[in-house]
Amino acid sequence: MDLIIEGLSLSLSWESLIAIIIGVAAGQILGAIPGLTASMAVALLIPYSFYFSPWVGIPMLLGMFKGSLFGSSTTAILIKTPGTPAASATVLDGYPLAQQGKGAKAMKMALYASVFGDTFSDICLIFFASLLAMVALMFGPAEYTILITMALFSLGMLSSKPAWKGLMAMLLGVVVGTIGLDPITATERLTFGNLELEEGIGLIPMLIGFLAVSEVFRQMESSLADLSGKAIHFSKEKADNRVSWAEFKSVIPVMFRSSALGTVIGAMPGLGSTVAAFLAYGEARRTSKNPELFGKGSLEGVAAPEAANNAVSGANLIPLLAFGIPGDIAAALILSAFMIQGINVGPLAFSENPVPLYAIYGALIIANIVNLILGFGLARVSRVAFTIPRRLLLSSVLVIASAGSYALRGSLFDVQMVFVFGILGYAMIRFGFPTVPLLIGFILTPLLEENLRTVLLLASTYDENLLFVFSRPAFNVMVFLIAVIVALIAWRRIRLRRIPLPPSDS
Amino acid sequence: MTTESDTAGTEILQLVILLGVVAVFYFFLIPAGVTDPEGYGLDQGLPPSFSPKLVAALAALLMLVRLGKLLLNREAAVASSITDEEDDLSTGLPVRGLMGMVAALLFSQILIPVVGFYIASGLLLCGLLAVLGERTAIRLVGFPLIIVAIVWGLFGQLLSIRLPAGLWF
Repeated sequence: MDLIIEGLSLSLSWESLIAIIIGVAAGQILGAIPGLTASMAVALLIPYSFYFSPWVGIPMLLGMFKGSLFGSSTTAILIKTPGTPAASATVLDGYPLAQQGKGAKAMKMALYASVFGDTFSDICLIFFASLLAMVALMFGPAEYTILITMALFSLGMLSSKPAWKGLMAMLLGVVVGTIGLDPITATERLTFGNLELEEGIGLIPMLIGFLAVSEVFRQMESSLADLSGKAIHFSKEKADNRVSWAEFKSVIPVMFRSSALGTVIGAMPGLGSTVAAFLAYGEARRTSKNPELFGKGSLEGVAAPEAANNAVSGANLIPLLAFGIPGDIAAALILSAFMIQGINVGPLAFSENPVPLYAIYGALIIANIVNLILGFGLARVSRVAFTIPRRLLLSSVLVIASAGSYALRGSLFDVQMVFVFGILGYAMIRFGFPTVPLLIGFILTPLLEENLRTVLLLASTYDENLLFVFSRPAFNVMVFLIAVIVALIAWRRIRLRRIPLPPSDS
Repeated sequence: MTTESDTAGTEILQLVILLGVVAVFYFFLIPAGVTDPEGYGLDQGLPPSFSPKLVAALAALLMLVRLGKLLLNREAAVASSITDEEDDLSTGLPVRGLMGMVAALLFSQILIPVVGFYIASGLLLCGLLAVLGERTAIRLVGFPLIIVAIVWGLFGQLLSIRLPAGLWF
């Protein structure tokens, strides 16, 4: 108990609290800039954290990581430009809400869901880190393959009517995802001798191009009167600018499910917050009482991806703190900061010197509270900032998006790709093809291919017998769960068909 | 007003064009763009060309099924595909969108490599504002200067990210 109090007192010191406030504020602002990911925000701060004491540097870093995730949702909601890939799924319902004048409501919903997801996963981290890490370790290539395949096909049909257009967009995303070096043989694929393509297409140019730039081109076709008006219209109705208790209560089950999903995905190395957000969105839509509202401005559609992508941030630290294994780039960066500051993590840290770990837990929870308080400020500032004329906003988005896409890899090719994808996205919208399934296909392809091909390589060691996957308990559990979900969907459809349609006018 | 037969006709045309694109991809682009290592067999996993070929085959299958549905039972197929969304920008001029695309391509392909990011951004902003109806000279010059200064301060100074320099600067 003394050790816990000692750890918490470190995170509750004035220096630590100020560091968290600065970290969260900087993270929210950096996260809102297209192209600057949460990992990049952390990477930018690491060299400076070396000059601070551990209990200033580490809390600031954790605050920045958490702040950047919410910051990215504000631009996703207001101008369809996700600051980080993790907020791409928030665009689906956040942007329609903003177009209805309910941008403030959407931002507040995103803030509540973000803090909820963050706190949920931090609590899981504090109490169940070892258990969750053990479950995550049971997931191998076979389980990843079946999970990703299921996600691809269910999400491929998102926001698309007819469904074939969504699936076609998803398959196009898969093709784009295969460009670059083959993950097993390192053979060039579809690069046609272009050196820039060997690294593959960057996720940031894809997201910015297909979501933001295509929308800018589309909005340029508005009338001149619209273009000279305010960039974003905020309704004056009080109900449109806040989340009522009834609305909040109605999304609590969605936030719980999405946070749990995000926590499990975050504990598994390699999947990340973008995948979690899209999976949670699909799941929320599947289980919603009003699935028809999704894509048109549903609060559940904002809460689900936000709770899930923030839940990943705490859960990311589960394999890191429990085993000393970073699950993704952000966790690896945080690990490097721990090492710089001389903090040991892993199984022995809990028995040998747990004080720093308790201090980290304290800093995580405080960062959530600060994120909530400063988030209201960011929402208010955004309301003022986006009252500039729409034509200025549209032009500025192109410039800031170019700078952001250049920043990650320092490649002019990425800037050029932003506009190529912007034009392609515009054409897709014009011909009725959704762009989001394309992005999902692109994000999931490298993961799917790598895991599928590893499964086949493993099968070759089992006398080329693919049935070895059924000897894995985790795989069998996943197959059972998927079978149950498919059966439930089929049962629901059959039931809907039996309900007689109301007579039409004709 | 779009009729059901128009919708079906447009969709059939899209499917036929896309099937052609997929055929070109499968028969020309994959062989030209992916070389499987010699003697690579299933015992070493799947060859590098497997994924693109599988995707092309799935896409073709998907479109053929849809085409079949449209040709055999046009009314039912169209009814299942009509959305209730209307394009809210149909009254605007598509010319501005096209001009924006041309300007963006000029900006990324020619202006940035030649004059550098900051000057190119200023020119792009000025040009786009003019295309989008801004006529006040002060705003046409002032807005781009402010935005470029913000980008310079944020990326160049605060984050120490060197944005591309051109041939001249």
